[in-house]
Amino acid sequence: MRVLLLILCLASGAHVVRAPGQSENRLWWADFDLRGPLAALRVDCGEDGSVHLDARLLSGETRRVSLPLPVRSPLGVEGLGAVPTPRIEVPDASAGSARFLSWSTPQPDRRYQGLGPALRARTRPPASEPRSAAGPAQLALLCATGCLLWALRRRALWLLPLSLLAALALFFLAGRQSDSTGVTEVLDVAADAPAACLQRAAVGTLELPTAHLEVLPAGRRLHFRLTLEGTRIQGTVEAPAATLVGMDVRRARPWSPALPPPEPLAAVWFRSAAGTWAPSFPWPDALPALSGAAAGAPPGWLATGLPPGRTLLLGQSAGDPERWIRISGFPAP
Amino acid sequence: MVWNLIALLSILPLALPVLLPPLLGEGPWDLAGASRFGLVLLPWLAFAGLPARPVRPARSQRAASPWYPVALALPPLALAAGLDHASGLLRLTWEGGGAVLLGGPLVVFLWCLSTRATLGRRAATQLQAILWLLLVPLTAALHVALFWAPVPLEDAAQPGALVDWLARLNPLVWCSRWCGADGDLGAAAGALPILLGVTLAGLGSVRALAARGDGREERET
Repeated sequence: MRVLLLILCLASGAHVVRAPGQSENRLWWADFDLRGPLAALRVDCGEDGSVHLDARLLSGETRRVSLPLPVRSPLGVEGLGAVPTPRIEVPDASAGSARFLSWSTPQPDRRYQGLGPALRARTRPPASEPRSAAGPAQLALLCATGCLLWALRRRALWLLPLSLLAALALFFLAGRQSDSTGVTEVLDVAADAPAACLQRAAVGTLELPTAHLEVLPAGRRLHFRLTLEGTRIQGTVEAPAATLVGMDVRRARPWSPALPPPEPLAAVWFRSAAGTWAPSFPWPDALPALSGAAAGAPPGWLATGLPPGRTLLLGQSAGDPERWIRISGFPAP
Repeated sequence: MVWNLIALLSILPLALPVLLPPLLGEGPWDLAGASRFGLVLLPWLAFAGLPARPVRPARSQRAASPWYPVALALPPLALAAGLDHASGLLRLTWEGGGAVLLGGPLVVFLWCLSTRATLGRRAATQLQAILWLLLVPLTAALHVALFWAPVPLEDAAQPGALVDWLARLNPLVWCSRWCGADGDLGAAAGALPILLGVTLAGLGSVRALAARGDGREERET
């Protein structure tokens, strides 16, 4: 009897166990009542982060909007009631006001949860971190500047101009040292899923997703910078040096060898249900350049953790090398 | 010589990620997430106001220009700021990094000016020494000790609490609040006016004492 009770207790908590590779959602929407004139608004969520909204409401204008908040709710939607009410600050001394009403229902995360465990467990796309270390050339310039300043330490007329010149040069050289990071995007499709999942990953800054947001390392403070365009909220998520992964739910379209791909693909890999990989795919009419050509091995992160015993199609966009597609259950040719 | 040592200490966070991997292999040298600008600024904040031995006026004439420590600090700070800006850790807005980019070096500059002004003036040197002890190591030690004391952390972290005030008065604690991977640049910007005000008030009194000492010497001669 005790064993049964223990199993029941464990099972009751199973809904909070996330699929491997998942982190908790950091995108929860709340309803606010805004009254103009209101130029900007700041919502403080404590240690979880903050939201800055450019509202641009005119005098007498009222608006009820849903704003995303970066709060942590380990129990998901059910745990939102225990999340402390965020603090609202109106920076400018206008007569406008803002009031927290309630957590939005339904939450957009419900659409992401409705995709099913198979799609939600897909590996997250990688986001390359920018190199931010000084190079040997910059260190050499720094040392040379130091030696020169030491030699001129009693000549006030030369010290500051030389120092400022070196400082400007080093500042701009540092900016060129770092690699720019783009966004890695993958569209995950399952033949039996009601919708597709678009995952976008970046380091530091990401366009605000609509359904689900994860951050690594977990618990990092997030800042949302939003603008209110009519009733639509647009913005970005910022978390310096953290990996951000946003998920949007897309309508599922039928995939078939008889239909052309939605966009030109630079490389295609097909895995049969038996597990054999082929570097090209019989879409010769749509992809004449790839017909019979070997595209090399697919990236490890793209091909990992996919269900065995099902056909798989992986593709890389020809327009953007950081845009990928991953389809399970693709009809075999 | 002291300024050269401080400068060497300040460039270590920039040099170690380049020098150590070829010698010791891969390791936690890249300081990912931490602000390089804050790490470079920290030695200057700690030691720019270090009490100096009173120097005879004759020797003070051969000392380096008062602008020497400022000139020495600017290039590594600029390099570190550039790296942080390129990796998205600091933005050129007031609350996103502009406050610390301007305020940190300004605090260093004030301490350097005051140190130079006290050369050869015993009373002013002693006053600066007391101020440095109070404003830098002692308040920093008190801030650390408060986290050991049985004070509820949520009370300690509330705005207006003693811990919060120490973060506004002490440059090291102020720097540590935004230097880490999860630093709060907005709070650092908010605390900057008080930090600058306290530094100005303290060092202004040092300067006034030094000027009064000059006036007395002129009357005596």
